[in-house]
Formats: sequence, C-alpha cells, structure tokens
Amino acid sequence: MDTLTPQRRHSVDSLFVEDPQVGVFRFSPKVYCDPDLFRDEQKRIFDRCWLYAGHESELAKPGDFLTRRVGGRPLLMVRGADNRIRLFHNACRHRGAMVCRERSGNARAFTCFYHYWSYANDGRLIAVPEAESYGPGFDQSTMGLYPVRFESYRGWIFVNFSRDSMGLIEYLAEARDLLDMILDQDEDGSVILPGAHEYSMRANWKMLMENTVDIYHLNSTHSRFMRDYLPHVLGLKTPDPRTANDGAMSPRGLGNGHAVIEYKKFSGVADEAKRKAWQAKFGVERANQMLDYTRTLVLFPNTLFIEQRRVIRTTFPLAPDQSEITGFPLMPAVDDPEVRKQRLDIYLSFLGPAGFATPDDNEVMELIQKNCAGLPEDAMIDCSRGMTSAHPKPQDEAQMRAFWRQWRETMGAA
Amino acid sequence: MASAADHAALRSELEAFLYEEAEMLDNWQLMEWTALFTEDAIYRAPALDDPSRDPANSVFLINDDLPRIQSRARQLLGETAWAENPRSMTRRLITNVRVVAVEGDTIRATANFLIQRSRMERIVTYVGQYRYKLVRAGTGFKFAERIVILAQDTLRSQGVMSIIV
Repeated sequence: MDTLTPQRRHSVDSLFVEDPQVGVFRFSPKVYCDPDLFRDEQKRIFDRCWLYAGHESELAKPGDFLTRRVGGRPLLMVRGADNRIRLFHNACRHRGAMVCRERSGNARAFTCFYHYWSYANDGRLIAVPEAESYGPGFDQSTMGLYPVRFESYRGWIFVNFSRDSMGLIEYLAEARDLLDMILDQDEDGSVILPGAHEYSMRANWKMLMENTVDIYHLNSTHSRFMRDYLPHVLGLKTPDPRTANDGAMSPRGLGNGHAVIEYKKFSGVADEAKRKAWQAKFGVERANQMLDYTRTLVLFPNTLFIEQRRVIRTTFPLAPDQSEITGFPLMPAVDDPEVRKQRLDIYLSFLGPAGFATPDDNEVMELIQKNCAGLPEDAMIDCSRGMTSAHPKPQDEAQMRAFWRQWRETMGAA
Repeated sequence: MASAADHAALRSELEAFLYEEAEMLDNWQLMEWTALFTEDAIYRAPALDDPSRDPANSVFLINDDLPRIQSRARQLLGETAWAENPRSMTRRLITNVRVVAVEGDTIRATANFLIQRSRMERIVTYVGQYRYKLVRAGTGFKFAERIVILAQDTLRSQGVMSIIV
C-alpha cells in the first residue's frame, strides 16, 4: 500500500479552488499532466474502482471468449462449457505469457505456446507436458488461470482489481436507477454490435470524461455537425442552445462520482401506442422522460454511456498525455431494421475516428494538453458554469464538478 | 471475353483516373472530388477486424451515401472542421491497381494505398486497399462503390482519421 500523509491530502486539495458563495470551481491543469498524479491514479482509481470490461452479449455461447486490456491488464473473458462467464488474467501460471492471443472466438481450451500448458475454458489447468518432473509441492489443481473479480449489472460486466472495495451495486449508487431507465427501453435486452471504434488521443483521459458530458461545446466545437450535417443531410433545424433543453432535468451527481445530463431528443416522436404502454409500465412521468429526453451517463472513473448515440465509451490512460478510447455500440437486441439503420446512422455520423464530431473533440483536448505543463504555476481550468443556480442546465458543468469532487476525494483520501 | 491487351489498356486508363483522384484529394479539391461519384454511390470504411460485415448490423468507420459524401467535403472545406483547420498536408501513393472484373460498363477493381498525413508536427500514415465498383461516364469513370479496407488492427497509433481516406 502507498503511504499517505496529511500533507498529501493537502496537496490534492490545493489543486482545487471551490467557493459556492460566488460560484467558482477551478482546478490546476496539473491534474492533466503531472506524472506523480498519474501514478497515483493507477493505484487509487484504476486499481480500486469498478471498471467496465465488456457485455454478456459478447459471450453468447459456451466457449465464446474475448481478450481485452482493462485498466492496463490483459484479460480473458470466457463463457465456460458450463455456461458460466468467468474473467481471468490472460497469463499462464508457469511463466506468465498470454495464453490467448485472439481478440475473440470460441474455444474449449487455451494453450500457452511457450511450453504448451493448457487451460480449460473454465480456467482449470488441464495439461502440463512432462509433469513428472515436478515435485509434490506442485499441485496442478491450484494452478488455474488467475481469476479477476467481476460483477454484472443487466449484462454490463465490470471488474475490480481490489478484493476489499465495495460491491458493484453499492458502487453504482443512484446511477443504477439511471441505467435502469436507459436499459428498460430495450424491452428484449441489449446487445453489443461488432465494430467497436478503437482510437486514441494525445490528451489526458479525464478530459474525455468532461467533454462527453459538455453540452456547452456543441454549437462551437461541433459547428460543422450542427450547421451542415443536421440541416442539410438530416433536414433538422439546428437547435437554439438557450432553449433546446427546456424541461430536461438538471445535470446532477449520482454518488461516487457518477453523474448524468439529460437533454431533448433531436428528432423522432414516440408513437402513441408505445407511449401508452410505457406509461402503464413505468409510470406517466418516467415514461415521458424516457421517450422525450435522452441522457448521457458518467460512471466514475472512465465509462460513459451516450443514450442518444447508443455508445458505451471507455478511456484508459497510457500516460498523462496519451489515452486509449473505445466506443462499443449497444443496441436493442430486437430492432426494426429501419430503426436499426437510423440508430447506426446517428451513431456513425457523430462518433468515431472518421465521424463528423469525434475528430474535433480530439483536436480540442489535444490543444488543452499541449498547454498544461507550461502554464503559469497559478493557472487554473475553469469549471464553474451554473454553480450558483438552483436548477443548473444541461449546458452547465455540475456533472463535471461531481466527477472532480470524487476524483479529489479518491486521490486525497487517507 | 476481354483480351489481356484490353485489360492492360483498361488498367492504364484506371490508373490515370485514380492518380487524378489522389491529386484532387491531396490538393483539397473536395467538391470536384464529390463529382466523381454516381448518384447512388457509397463510400465506406468497414471495421478494421472484419471488412466483410454488413453495415446494417455492425458499426463501420465510414458509411456515406452521396449526401453524406457531399456534406463531408463541405464540412472539411469550411472553417469549423477544427481537426482539419489548419489542414493536413497529405500525399497518397496509389499502387497495385488491378482490374478484377468487367461486366458491360461496370468495372470492379482494387488498388493499394499509402497515405501520409502531416499536421501540427505530427506524421501519421494510413495503409490499405481500395475496392472499387466503377462505371463508365463519358470519357472517364465514376465511383459507384469506393470501399476502404485499412490494413491496420486499430487506429490507436493514428488517433483519428479526419481526412478523406
């Protein structure tokens, strides 16, 4: 364990200025570029928080597996012959090489090619060539793949690399209700479609957590999307940012750093039959909220769900100024083909390395990063929008402050 | 049946067309470039791990019809495609042009590409194969399908793909 001192708490707190009376919330750009903070984040955040790792629909049949790096660790996720999903470190118990080098597939066993040790798809070590050379202290039955702690919520698989952190349900706090509101709309369940976007940015991972719930930047950073694609390809009116989201609930923290913003759907009016059915099922107010508004959810530390675009987005830092970003398309398992096409259009027009918005987000985050280390010692990033308002708007920054308060707490706690 | 000589002549004609296209893109003559497409054209880049998937049931990197191709070009030429303002400097090497099949006025062909993109002190490359369906149009060709198969397993090292590839 790292050693923590009162000085350390102070040094993290000193990165922030928060004054609710005058509505000021600011933080030092060091949070984006300091190498010591980056190292601490690995231990305090990525080794202790629940991290989205995958979706049960990606492992549909017994033997289905996928490999993925989560929190800097190569993992093997596999549905065993007994139909149970398990997660392992993708590492041979002999010398530690990765036992599976495919991205996904179906297998009964995984063999490390170094010395041909083999593991069943439930993780048991089932073959060791020339095993007679080992002494009595070598107990093959205890040499299965290292399991990884994980829990699923409605198909979303989260991992935790700490044994003593709180359980997933407690961790999700009020975010669970928002996840329910989103996932209840997929009446036959949800599936991850193939084709996840895997790209990167030369900027700190936390910027993506802010940028994805920043409504304020839509009309400036995404001007080309709002003023060309929206009107000229989709035939939709560019919304007036001051009134576009009237009626949406205020952005708010959901506990443990999670947060939500809500805004009006750009297009599409729910058919009345569906509205009636949902009103009966979920209550009038909740059904209308589900149908007329759309939400983006921040799951601290590094997972986002953009309901309108149906993307589960994760980011993992490789360095203070280098982050991997992955976008997984989550769609209703049963979908009308025409509606599915619309969903995919909405997804792809905005998102991804060649989308009409993502490259511009990357551009601005990289411009911030280039400045971070060289700004004056007392320079601050401003995150104060809507702080004195009793009812902050989606285009305010309350959702980001919820993230930062949790980050400050996690990084500074004794 | 087309003879070997016919194929060689066609390939040479195609090469000239594709080199002109590459020059247009490198020179940012993007509206002129959009005129190289048929009304029902598609411009696609499938996911990197499996180019054979159906765009109706998986996510691509690019899946443009003509209105989107035109919007993409207009956006990139406007001032607010921030990722390309200032613009990237590119040079495209188009090689290994092969005529795959000829049916009447429709030609299926492939070509390999290497695009170097330089911008704001960073150089990235995109490498892959184009798979074309072309139709005769006057003295030249038009793209009915222009499919980009990237020979890369992720875009992690490039970051994004904000130019027309």
